[in-house]
Amino acid sequence: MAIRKKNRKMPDIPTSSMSDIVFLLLVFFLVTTSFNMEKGLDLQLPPKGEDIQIRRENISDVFVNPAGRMRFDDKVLGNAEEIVTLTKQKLALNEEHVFVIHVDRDGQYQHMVTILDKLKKADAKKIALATHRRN
Amino acid sequence: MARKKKKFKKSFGVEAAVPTGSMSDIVFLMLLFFMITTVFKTEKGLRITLPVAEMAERVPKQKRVAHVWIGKAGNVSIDDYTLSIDQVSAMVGKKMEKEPTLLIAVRCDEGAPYGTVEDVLEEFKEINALNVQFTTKKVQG
Repeated sequence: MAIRKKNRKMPDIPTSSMSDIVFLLLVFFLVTTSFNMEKGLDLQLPPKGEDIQIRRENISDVFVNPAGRMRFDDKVLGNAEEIVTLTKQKLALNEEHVFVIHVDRDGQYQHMVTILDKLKKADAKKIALATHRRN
Repeated sequence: MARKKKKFKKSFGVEAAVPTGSMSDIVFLMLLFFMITTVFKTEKGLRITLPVAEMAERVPKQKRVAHVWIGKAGNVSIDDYTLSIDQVSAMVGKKMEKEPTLLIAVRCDEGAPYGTVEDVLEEFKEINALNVQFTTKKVQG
């Protein structure tokens, strides 16, 4: 009789604290989640040892010295925004115009990014970074 | 008057309860969402100030990304290992073997010497890692 009584009891899983646990887990994941919001400027590097002959008039050079002074071909620039208009002028003549960025080895990374940004803003497709590596 | 008052009271007598029956379902759904989207950061990286740019694009979702960190002093770090420049190609090369279409995100301090960046890019060319992205932050205002 005693055994029967015991068997009649419904086996319950206690669920009252479940919501607390789930809330805790939720808070944990909410706090630890960091959404990937990375942004950047894409650049396709040229393969090693590939030399392409490009006619001089189809290339523009952009120079920066370590102090951040910029030059677009032979024109000294007052500020970086001028690159956009000059680039657009070049692209209007030739869609495939190549722009080469020359940055001094002692210059700052930000200068290179600024110029790359301005060229992208003007929709330049062919951008190259000049290298002056001493081997 | 008295009768009217009584009626008024009766309508207030209905208990106002927030339905909590579906709460746990909603919480479970949110939990699942966050569990699936969470990616734990495995790399600490270096303390850097990213350069600013206007035309920054998002990384394509399906692309695998490897981070190369360059600090203000020109120190290079991948996967939290500090490397010299000629070790970069070996390290990135190993990653390229696993994932040939790897995108390399260069996370470089805005004040880093460009010479270091140039050398690192040369190393990438060496091993044919040609998809490069310079990580930036959006310009404010």
